[in-house]
Amino acid sequence: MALEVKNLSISFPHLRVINNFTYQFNQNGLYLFVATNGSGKTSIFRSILGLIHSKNNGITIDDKPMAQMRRSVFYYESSNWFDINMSGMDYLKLIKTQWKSNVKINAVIHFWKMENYVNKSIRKYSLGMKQKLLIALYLISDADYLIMDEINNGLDEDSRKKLLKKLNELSQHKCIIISSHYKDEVYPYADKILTIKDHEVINDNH
Amino acid sequence: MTTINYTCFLFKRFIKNKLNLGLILIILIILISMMITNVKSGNDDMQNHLNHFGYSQNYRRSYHNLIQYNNKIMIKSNSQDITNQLSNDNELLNYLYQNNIQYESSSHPTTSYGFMKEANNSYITGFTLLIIIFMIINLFSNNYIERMNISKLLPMNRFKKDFISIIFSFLLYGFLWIIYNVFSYILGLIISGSGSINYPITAFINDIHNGSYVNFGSLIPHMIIIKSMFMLFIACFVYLVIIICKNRIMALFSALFISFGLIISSLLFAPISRIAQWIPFSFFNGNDIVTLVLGHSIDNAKLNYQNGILILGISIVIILIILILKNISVNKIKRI
Repeated sequence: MALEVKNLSISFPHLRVINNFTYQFNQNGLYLFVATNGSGKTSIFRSILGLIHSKNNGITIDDKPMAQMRRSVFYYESSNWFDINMSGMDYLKLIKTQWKSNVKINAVIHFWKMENYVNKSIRKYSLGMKQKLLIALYLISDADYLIMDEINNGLDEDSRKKLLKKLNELSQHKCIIISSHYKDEVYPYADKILTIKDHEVINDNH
Repeated sequence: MTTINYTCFLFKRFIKNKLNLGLILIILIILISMMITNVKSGNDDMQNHLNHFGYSQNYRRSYHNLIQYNNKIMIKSNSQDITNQLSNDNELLNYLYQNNIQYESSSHPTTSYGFMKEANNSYITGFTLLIIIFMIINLFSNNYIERMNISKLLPMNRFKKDFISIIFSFLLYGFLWIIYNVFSYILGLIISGSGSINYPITAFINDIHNGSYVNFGSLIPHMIIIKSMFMLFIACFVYLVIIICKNRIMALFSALFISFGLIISSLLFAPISRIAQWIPFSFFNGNDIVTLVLGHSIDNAKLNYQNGILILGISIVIILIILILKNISVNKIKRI
């Protein structure tokens, strides 16, 4: 099992972003994307999921097109994407059913200590609460490939440690692709480091 | 299970947006204020005449007496306008006499059925259309962020998702329509009772220039059918606009501009009025289509029920084909 990206190139009008990125993400392990702001990390994630247009020779999971393998991947880019009128519980129920997951909602809520606010509307959440909900969605989905964009933003130090410990545990049997501003914190847990330099994705030895 | 789950999520998204409930409340407030105006306006001329002929003792006898009185005036009168008016009054009174129905003002009704007819006039229907377009766009434009459709991240078939979204929008419109009709019915029931479903209304079915009285109840099935077709058309149209615009403000502006632009143009500009039967938005008021009241007011006899079914049906099919082709082309691009 693998998520394969073949010759992925991303460009916007008058702006080249990524050139000819080819890579195979295996079924387990933690892949860390390291790059400066605006270098194209989010664009790569969006292209893999088909959210933005890109040129490529195939983005597949187990040799099947991504569109047919949606249930194997979970990506929710930012807590800004939430409909603030909804509650955290509404999203957790949606994701659990859509991804046909066996993970218990209450267990995840308890793990992230969300009991006091999970049934309230998201408009009342602080940034940290929203970020914990975002992480909870990843855990509830139980997808084989978890693609996370700056997911530890807005979390306090203890929560970041807790998250990394959890991701390390999950990476034993899932593929986790993550980008983070807290590079030094994630670095010890990463199995592979991918760096973007001059529109090229470079596989750093780690 | 995933279908029910997604539908429940849409329902919660609709219910939890207080703006939607506020808009429904505005419609109900407008209906209450209309009813208050009707109650305050008191008796019309016809009711005053009938009262003079003993309406409260025996309303059927008062119809008979007023008809005879009108006939006498018509014989003496030299004015064609007065004769036409009284002849029209007599036609109504005859209908009420033969069907044993109590008179009710058509301009200020207070019974359930009478008020429901008023609640389905063009202004309220137009306002409801405005609100439903806003609600549908508000509901589904949340799926677009930076022009990206984030709903495609859900592991759900695209066709199924489009189908659920359109049916949900259709049901939402239906729900809104039922809410304000049931509310109108209850308001009437509280104030003056239910009234008669067989009360006559003016229709131009046989002659676009000269109206005649028709049993309101007999037109209801056609009114419901054409209204349902229009609701489905709007659900498809607004969903397509959202998919094309990929942005809330742009979608709202486009949908309102196209729909109300065409409705208002067909009412005001003769060249557009002449082709109104080809414009699906012209059929926004099912009552005025079935009775041909709208066709009469813009002098277009083709703006009728049969053409409404045909044009709305064709428009719905065309939009669905566009949506299917769009999904197929997106899938092909993805495979490249």
